[in-house]
Amino acid sequence: MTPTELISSNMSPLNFLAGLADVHNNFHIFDKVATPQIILFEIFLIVFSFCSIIYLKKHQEKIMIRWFLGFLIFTLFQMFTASMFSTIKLGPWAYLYIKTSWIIGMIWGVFIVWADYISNKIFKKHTIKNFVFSILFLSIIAFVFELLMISLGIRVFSEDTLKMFSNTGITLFPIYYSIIISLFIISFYKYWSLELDQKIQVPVKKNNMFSFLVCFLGILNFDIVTRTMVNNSGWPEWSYIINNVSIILTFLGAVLIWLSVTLIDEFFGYFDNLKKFVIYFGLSIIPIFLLEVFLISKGMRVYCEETVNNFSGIIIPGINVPIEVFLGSTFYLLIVLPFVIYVVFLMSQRNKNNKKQKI
Amino acid sequence: MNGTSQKSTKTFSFFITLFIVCFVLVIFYGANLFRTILVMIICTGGLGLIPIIILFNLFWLIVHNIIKLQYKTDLELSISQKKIITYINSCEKANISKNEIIHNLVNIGGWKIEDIEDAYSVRDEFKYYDNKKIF
Repeated sequence: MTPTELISSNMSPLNFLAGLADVHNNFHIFDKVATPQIILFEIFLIVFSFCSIIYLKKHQEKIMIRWFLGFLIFTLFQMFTASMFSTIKLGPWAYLYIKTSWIIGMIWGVFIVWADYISNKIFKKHTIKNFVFSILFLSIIAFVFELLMISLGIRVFSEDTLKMFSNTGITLFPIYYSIIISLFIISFYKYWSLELDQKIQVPVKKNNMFSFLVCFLGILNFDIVTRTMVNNSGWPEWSYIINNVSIILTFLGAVLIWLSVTLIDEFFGYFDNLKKFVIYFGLSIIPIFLLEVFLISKGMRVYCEETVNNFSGIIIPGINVPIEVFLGSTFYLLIVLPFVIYVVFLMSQRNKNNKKQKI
Repeated sequence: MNGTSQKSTKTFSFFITLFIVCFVLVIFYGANLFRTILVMIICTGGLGLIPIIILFNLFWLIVHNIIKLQYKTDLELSISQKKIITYINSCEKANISKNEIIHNLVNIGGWKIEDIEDAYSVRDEFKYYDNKKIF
């Protein structure tokens, strides 16, 4: 039974709940059977996470909230990229949603907290050096962890992803995506840490254009990593820089997001972070989602088979678009937006005048 | 607008938002509303709720601000003044010295000394009000 069939069925509430469990467990079938090696690996991950949290609790404030931030963003990331690369064979107990695993989310949460702890020991909090170091540190851990998962047969790539790369390309792919994933995940974590660290942000008169360039390059790399999820067609030939990634579309997305962040900072800069994030999100989601719906209707954005297979079948009335397209746009923003905001913040908080003005 | 009326405006705007959202959802999904929401939550591991909560909050913020316009005070501050005053208030709570506040505003924020002095004088004029009551 599919989710859509379940919604439109005339079952009694009890049967409906039973059907819900059935749909959740059986709608997407893949190899969940764990080998003894994998079970040992999972036990090691849980013990390591537990010990790390106990150790870090003594050295860092609000450690559970920090860990949860890391867990949340990586779980979102797993959901977003499930049609490209996913985790299998972890045992039925390890999954939260289709191929999204709480064990992998949990260990990534611990890695992120470690990266933050060590970078804060070496560099001043919320500085460019601290940010770059934590990304590099997390990338190295992520890469080693990816290799371990590939060798145990847990990490699998979709056919489209495998087709897109040559043999050398697919060998180097884990290095590339470890860096890009770390960039976005650390940005999310650091952005929300501003609130936890009670960092007071100096209001700036004007944001500089250099932050746009950094945001554009970051989003471009994100689009390159996730390029096998959706096909972009109908753009001018010259705009395709790599496979189906159109630089025009990426540029449009970057402008929309960067502009919304800059405008909100300009007019609502005195709001607290949470309120500002809600407005950033609201201002960005409308054009991003409308653009997505428009491109889908024009046949310029076609989702790959693996992505469509993960759809539940629930449709948004009126525009007849799968709900996953909306969720995809919002998850995309939840991942990309904190990166843009944090980069703009870091760029704006630098000392602009080296010489002290006479006060 | 005093603290109590601000709180009741917030509660009032919350219920108005809830009513509008429920009304729109019922029109869209009809009798299947409850089932659709349940399936969507279960089929997205609960994470499907995040964008919904954010968008609900955004809508609530808009409704709240529309209602708040009726209670607008006479205090008219420019955006720059609001930004600087908010920063000064936060720094003072964190026991940061006035010299450091001005130094950061000039060297990091790119503000002129006159802007800062103006913000200080405006804030002192309305010393009775804290951030929440001014904005």
